[in-house]
Amino acid sequence: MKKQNRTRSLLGTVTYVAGIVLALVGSLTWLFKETGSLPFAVGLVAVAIGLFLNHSYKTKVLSLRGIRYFFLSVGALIMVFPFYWMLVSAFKTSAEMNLFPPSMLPKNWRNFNNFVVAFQTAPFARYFLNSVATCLSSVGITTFTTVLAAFAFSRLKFPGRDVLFSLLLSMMMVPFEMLVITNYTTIVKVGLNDTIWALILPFTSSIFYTYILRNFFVSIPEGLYWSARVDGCTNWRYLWKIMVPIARPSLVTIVLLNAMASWNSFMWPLLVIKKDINRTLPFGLYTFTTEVGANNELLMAASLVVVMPMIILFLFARKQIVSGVSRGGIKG
Amino acid sequence: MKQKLPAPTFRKRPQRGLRRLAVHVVALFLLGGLILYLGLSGREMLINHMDVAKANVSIDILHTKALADIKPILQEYANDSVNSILDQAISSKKRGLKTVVGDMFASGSTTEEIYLAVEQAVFEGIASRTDQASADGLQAVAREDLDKFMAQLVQEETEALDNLCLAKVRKSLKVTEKGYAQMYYHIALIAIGGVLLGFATFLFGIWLFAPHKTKIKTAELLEPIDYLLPFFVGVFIFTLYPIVRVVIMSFQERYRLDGSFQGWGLGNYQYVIHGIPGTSNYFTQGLRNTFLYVIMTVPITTVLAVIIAYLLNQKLRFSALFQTTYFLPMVTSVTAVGLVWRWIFNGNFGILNAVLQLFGTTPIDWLRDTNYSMTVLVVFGIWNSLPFTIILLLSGLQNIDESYYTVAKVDGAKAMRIFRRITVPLLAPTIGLVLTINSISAFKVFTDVTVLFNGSPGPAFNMYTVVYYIYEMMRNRLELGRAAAAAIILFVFIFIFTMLQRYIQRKWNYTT
Repeated sequence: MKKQNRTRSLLGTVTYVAGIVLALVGSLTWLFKETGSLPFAVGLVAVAIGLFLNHSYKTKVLSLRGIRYFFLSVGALIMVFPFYWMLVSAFKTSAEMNLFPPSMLPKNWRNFNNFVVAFQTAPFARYFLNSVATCLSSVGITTFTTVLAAFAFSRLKFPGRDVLFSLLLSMMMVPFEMLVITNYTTIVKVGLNDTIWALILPFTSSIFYTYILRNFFVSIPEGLYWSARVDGCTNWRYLWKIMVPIARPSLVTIVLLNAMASWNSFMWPLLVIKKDINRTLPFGLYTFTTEVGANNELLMAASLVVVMPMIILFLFARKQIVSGVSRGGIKG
Repeated sequence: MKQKLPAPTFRKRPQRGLRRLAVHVVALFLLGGLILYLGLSGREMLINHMDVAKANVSIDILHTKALADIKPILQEYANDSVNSILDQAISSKKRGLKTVVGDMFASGSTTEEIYLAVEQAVFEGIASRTDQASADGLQAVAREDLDKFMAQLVQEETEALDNLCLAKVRKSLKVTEKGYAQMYYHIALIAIGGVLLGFATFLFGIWLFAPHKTKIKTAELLEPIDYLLPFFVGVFIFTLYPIVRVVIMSFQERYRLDGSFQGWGLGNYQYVIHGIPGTSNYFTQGLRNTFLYVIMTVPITTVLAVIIAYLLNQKLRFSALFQTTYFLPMVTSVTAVGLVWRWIFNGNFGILNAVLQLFGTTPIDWLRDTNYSMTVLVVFGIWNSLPFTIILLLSGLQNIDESYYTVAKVDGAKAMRIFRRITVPLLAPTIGLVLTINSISAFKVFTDVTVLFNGSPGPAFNMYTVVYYIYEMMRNRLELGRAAAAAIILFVFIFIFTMLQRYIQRKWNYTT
């Protein structure tokens, strides 16, 4: 294979590298100090000149790769910027918040005052407890019912099984926003509104997760089941000793998706909860905004507290969450 | 030397079926008994309620109505000077008389006695203001009419009491009443308890009398039910029943939270679609906004996500870092993140205006200027749905067989050509899937609006979405019937997209 244009010049390489460095430094200073648009522009021009002087195959590949990394980094910065801004703003004083243009870093990173004030103004510890309680119990119960139902739909034989299952699947496309109306009246009529139970009970069984888990159970060879049965294993023991351990990845997926949905749910608590002490974190945070009004630094501190557990969970279980989302095909 | 093996011992399998049957009998008896007890005690409570309601009706008729209607009768016979005294007498006696009537009622006095007491009190009132003689005179003249009136009143009372049946008391119960659910659903509870008990007896009968084979067979039939029951309890109450109920509710005109409605018909749909003539119709506005939102966010998200997923799919250093940053918005609460975006979009001190100022734009009040409401919502929506879209597209890319690329490279195809001719066609099913899923979830946009605009639909009520409309009808106006109608219209749109999604998924499964 013939490589076109073997032109290599030291001058070109130097201009190229210097241009990149200049552009990077320029863009950074531009962001932080709002001077530096000139170095940035000059840097870009220098990169172009360097490329023109030195367009060997290698530089071309390298610069393509560079462009790729550049775009990805810019995208990543935009995606992560709100979190950065949340973190930074949480440590600013209210005087710093009301600067324009805003400063990119807080003056004092050890300014935990906002957190203290936020926790004093609203019972965030209580919200946190409520969130944890609803999340744990609804995820626990849902997982239990899901495992049982998925097993029945995949291994047990009973008349009308497949008809029943396809009926369930057709119910899956009804959006929760439609069910919410009747569920609201049910909860009110049973007298559970404004209690934690109202947040747990409607979410004790999920057709969607059953569907995912059943599909996984079906993919486990049926021979395994029958050989276990022949050896005198009951259905119950087979389910918990053999099937569940095999299906652990799927179970983890379900639990993670469910926990995320439960932790972040907003509309349902907004409907059924009134009292301060029964609020969950997202809802409590939302009402907190009306309480503190324009004190955005407090809001940012509180938001950080709400977001942190999920970020930590994500950092530890990124692969499972990502594979779960891609397999499940639902929005978290 | 031959060692004799011990004879293999088998557990007696059939016993297991028998045990299952026995456990079911006991559990069903207990559960059925409990539910039946709840239903019966609910009925008991309701009957108590009815007694109270009956007493209230009687007291109301004998006190309020008697006092109000005795006046015109007496006025016919009294002259002007007594008329004003009559007013005073009645209004002065009103309050004290109610407790007297209540006490008399509680101690078991007859209706006539109570009525006479009321009448007597009125005349006492007159006498204390004029003199005994004129009061007596008035009473004597009006005697006949008063007697007639009393008879009429007694009849009215018995009619009202006859009218008051258990069903009416049940309907008029307040939701806040203690034990409301137990009273309101007592019939259903009794029925369920009865059915369970009947079933338990049936199983008990089998356990006692049926041949062994039938017992085992029944136990085997019971097993799937056990596994499905906990799941189906939730599905029935919170998925199946609501679907049916919401359809019915949408035809109950002005169905409200307390269960009252004004007849059957299409009134809810009419209201939702036409609104009140002369005022702005928030549903059509919401529909327009929702469609606009879907049309703007979904394609932009998809295009951006295809590019990013393509770049992420290449061999990459720090790919874990990139993935983490790109996927982070997916796990975090929209509420918390929405607050940051509000701060970013802030008109006075927001960073977005600061950045735009570098390019010489004048500051924009993003959140309060109605021209930019949709832009803000769309930007936030795109940022929010990008991670999910990237993940799906990335897994779609990874499913493409490597050999296609190898062959194309061997044949000397350029990167752009490979992307256009191999990546995009093979990714098409995933793109279709992503488009439909994103559209469905974009149709349901609610939290974003609520959080970004601080609990109101836009700065000038200009950012209603369909779900926001449903929410407002439900929570703030308590018009559940109208909310149901709006929800069903929303469902029609979602249904179309779901069908599309199923079609794509089926095709996809077929090709790979």
